Amino acid sequence: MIRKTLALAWVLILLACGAYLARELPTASIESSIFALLPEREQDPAVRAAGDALRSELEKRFLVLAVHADADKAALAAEAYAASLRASGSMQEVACAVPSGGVGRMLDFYQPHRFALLSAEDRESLAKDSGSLYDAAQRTLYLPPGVSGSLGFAQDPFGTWGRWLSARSGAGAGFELRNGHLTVALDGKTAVAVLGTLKPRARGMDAQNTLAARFDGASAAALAVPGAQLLRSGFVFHELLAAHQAHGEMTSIGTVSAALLLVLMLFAFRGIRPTLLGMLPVLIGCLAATALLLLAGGGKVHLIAMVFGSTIVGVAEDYGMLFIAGLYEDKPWDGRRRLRDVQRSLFLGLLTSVIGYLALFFVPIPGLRQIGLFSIAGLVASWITVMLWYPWLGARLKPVSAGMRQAAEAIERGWPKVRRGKLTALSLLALLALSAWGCARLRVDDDVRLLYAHDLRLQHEQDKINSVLRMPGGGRFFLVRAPDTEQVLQREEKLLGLLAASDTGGAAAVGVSTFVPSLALQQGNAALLLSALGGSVNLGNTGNVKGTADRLAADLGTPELGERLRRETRENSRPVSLEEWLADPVSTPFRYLWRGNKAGRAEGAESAASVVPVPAAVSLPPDRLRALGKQASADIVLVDQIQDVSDTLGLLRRHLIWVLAIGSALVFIAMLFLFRGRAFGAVAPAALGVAAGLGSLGGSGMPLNLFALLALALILGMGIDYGIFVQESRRQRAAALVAINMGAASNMLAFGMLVFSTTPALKAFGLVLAVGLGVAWLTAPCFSTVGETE
Amino acid sequence: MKNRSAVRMRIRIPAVAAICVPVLFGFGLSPGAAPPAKPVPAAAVSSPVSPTLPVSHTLPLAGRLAAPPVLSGSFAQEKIIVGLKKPLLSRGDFLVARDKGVIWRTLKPFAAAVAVTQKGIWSLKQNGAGLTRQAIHQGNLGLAMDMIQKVLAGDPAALDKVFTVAEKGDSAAWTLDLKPLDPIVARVILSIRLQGGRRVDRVEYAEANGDKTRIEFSAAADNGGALASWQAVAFRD
Repeated sequence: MIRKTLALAWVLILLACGAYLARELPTASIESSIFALLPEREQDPAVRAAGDALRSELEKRFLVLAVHADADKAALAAEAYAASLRASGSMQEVACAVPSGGVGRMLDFYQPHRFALLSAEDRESLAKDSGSLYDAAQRTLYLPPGVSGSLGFAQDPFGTWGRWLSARSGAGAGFELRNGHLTVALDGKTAVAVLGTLKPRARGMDAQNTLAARFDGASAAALAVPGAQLLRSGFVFHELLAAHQAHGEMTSIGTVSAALLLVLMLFAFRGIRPTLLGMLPVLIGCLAATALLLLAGGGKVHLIAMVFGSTIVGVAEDYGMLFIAGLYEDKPWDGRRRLRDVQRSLFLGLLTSVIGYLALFFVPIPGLRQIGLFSIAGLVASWITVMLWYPWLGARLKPVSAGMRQAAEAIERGWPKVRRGKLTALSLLALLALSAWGCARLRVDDDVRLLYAHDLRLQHEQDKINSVLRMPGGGRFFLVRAPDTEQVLQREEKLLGLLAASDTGGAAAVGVSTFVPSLALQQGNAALLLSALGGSVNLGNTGNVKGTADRLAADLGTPELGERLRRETRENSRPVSLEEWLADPVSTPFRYLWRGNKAGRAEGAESAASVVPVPAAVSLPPDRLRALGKQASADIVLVDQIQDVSDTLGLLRRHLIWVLAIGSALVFIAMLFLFRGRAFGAVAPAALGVAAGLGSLGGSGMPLNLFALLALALILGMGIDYGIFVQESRRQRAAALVAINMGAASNMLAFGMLVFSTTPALKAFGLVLAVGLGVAWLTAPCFSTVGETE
Repeated sequence: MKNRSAVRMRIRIPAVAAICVPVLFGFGLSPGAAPPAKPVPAAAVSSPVSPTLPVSHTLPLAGRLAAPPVLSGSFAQEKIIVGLKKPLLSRGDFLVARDKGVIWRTLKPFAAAVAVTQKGIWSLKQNGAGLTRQAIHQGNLGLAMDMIQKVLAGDPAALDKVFTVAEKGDSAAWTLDLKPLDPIVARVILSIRLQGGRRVDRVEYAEANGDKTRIEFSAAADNGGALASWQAVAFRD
């Protein structure tokens, strides 16, 4: 009666969990940033926000080069590509030619400020020698058009403006302009660029398929030009490819493993009902654990904790399996009795798992604690489900045929036993030695890029583009913060100057101050020019020397020229402000560099900020870059997003190793207490499984990382279960073996198949699981201690 | 996140030099390339030119511009600048070295020299210690240099890509009128006129701001391909 009440109560609790999830989950904030797994104090919100904003901006952009030996054909292919994309409507902007108005707008925008803008070279030579301005004017006057860099004597008498503008482009990607197309020479051929920005888009499979089809259409249009070739660069191409591969794998690997699993279960238990009973505990466990995690997190839940947690809850499949494996007993089926027979095994299995995963609470990483909470709650809920419901749910099952039963018993009898022969023990020792050999070759790699399917062709195209163009990339940027806009610009200028002075492989970094120099710098520029012009400013002890303006006027026999030069310089040297630039279309491609000025914040707060992306070609080591940032200002930080994520994965990995070690130790102590002399036999399968899993990783040359460790956690949990089931199954060993076989086979089908994935991290996970679980499964029956005596 | 190297839009300012430098120097060097007295060696003629030029799509220059590694000559230039009363006259010499760059040396009315290389524009100064270079402008001039090479290699068809080309006269006395195809370049350069016979004798520029430039080339000594040491310094990228 009490059991019935409890079972009913469990139904109600689960219904409540379901209702809670149905209400909360759609509105819950599901965190997916890996940084959110870390303790709060290790995160800088401003850095995260800047990183997220920069990433989402850069992830929208892409670049495609149409390459052809004939420049005209390259342009034709690029035009075709752009036209096809433009017609698709998925793009916010696609450009393969510079609108002729665009550059004109730039000239118009800077014209009234042109004498406040000096290139670094011009400023340096003017500061050193005011007479250099005279030389510059002579070059404008006497060199053939274009050679001095001047835009013409009337507008740009010293060439300073033309050279400043030209340096803005030199600071950029490295394109040249040809018939309005952005062009770059590549391997003796001509490459014409198509630059695009994606519209904000819907997530999900359909949206991705549509987008992929549009890019394919554009490629086809461009490749219709015979001999044309395309090079692609941009996050979107990697994303579409990864999604395509993931989808392919989900359908192929997923379908195959689900089908095999179903066939296996139907074969072993002759019915759909036992099959469902085998799976149910895992589903219930995940449901209850998700509800608890959401409740504990106050409506916030982390995606990674959920995914990892539900994987671990997969261990609970063993509970259901052990129960229905009773169908192989040689006595009439009775659900209640079967539960009574296995409840000790179930409880010990749960207890050891909980003890093992409790170790997750010993590390100061909130994310790992969430995983621990999820796993333990899930396992407990699964166990409760079996204990309370299965006497009823499994009341009327049909035992398997006598033939099947005898076959299972024969398999069990024939299984090699350590007790029975030296050969088995020697084989196990050989396995251990092989594992040790593999473990010795084990290396660690926390690179987040292992999480992405790597496409060599796309990477090759990318590298090719990076070799000729200077694109920002690699996810590295400087975050420049200061109390106000002017100070941000000044700090940025200092940083850019230091970067330019160090060996950056010709790749110039660009910031807001590249386009809007600080007020101080612009005023300094204008003062330098006016002072060199002479006449209207106090020249101090050099007053007897004629200024450049008067010298030129005298040379050219045009007396009014001196005053004209001075007047025009004065009138067109008003500093350009950041606000004007932001408000003008000329800033459109670069606005993302400015992080905003949060006016009205408390005094002294860092209220203005900008980002300076580090170009992909810069090969300076992070320490050197960080030092340069600090040298420019103590408030400049280098953010290396890929490195940060990889570091986080590494941190989690190091903690998880401790968790596994402590967990294993705790479990072993518990086993010693519970099984005394047989404890070794109970933990040996798990230990062998872990060793073999690690060995396979080392032997195959794949690196150890967080995901491989997750597989180890699973092997530990299940391996111990197998050990317990074997040790506890004195009379019904065939049933225990069936439970182990079915549990291991289904988990190997569900996770081990991932070894066929093209994503390196999943492949490693699949390998460790397949080998480790396989070894734990096959060796567990070898340690049966009751073989002969019965 | 991967290297997925994000892409940034970049808009190139009109690289006036990229267009002007090759046009000027590419043709300016022809006096040295084919001195009038010397017949063009057959091996240097990439496509034999019919004496009854012009044929519509064959530029009269095609095949004539043999390209020794180093070419030099002298020039006389007249510039008319809006707002100045007198035209500006200058003379001097120039040198084009294949794969290296160009030196433009003004001798009168004052002495000054600049070098244009792949890496930028440099002011050259001779002092006691030798030649010193100072950067006037640094930046990639790869495409400009590419154009120079093409023209040097007797491929003036490269002009076709940048200008609409109209030609008059015959192979003994021809005129090419060039108008920039690119509207951005057209903001600065209205037209360029090249005149010559077996070589380019004259280049005339009309700029959008009203300035006009006329450069006359005269025959030069062939210095046999060797660079003087100061010239080597000037080209050191």
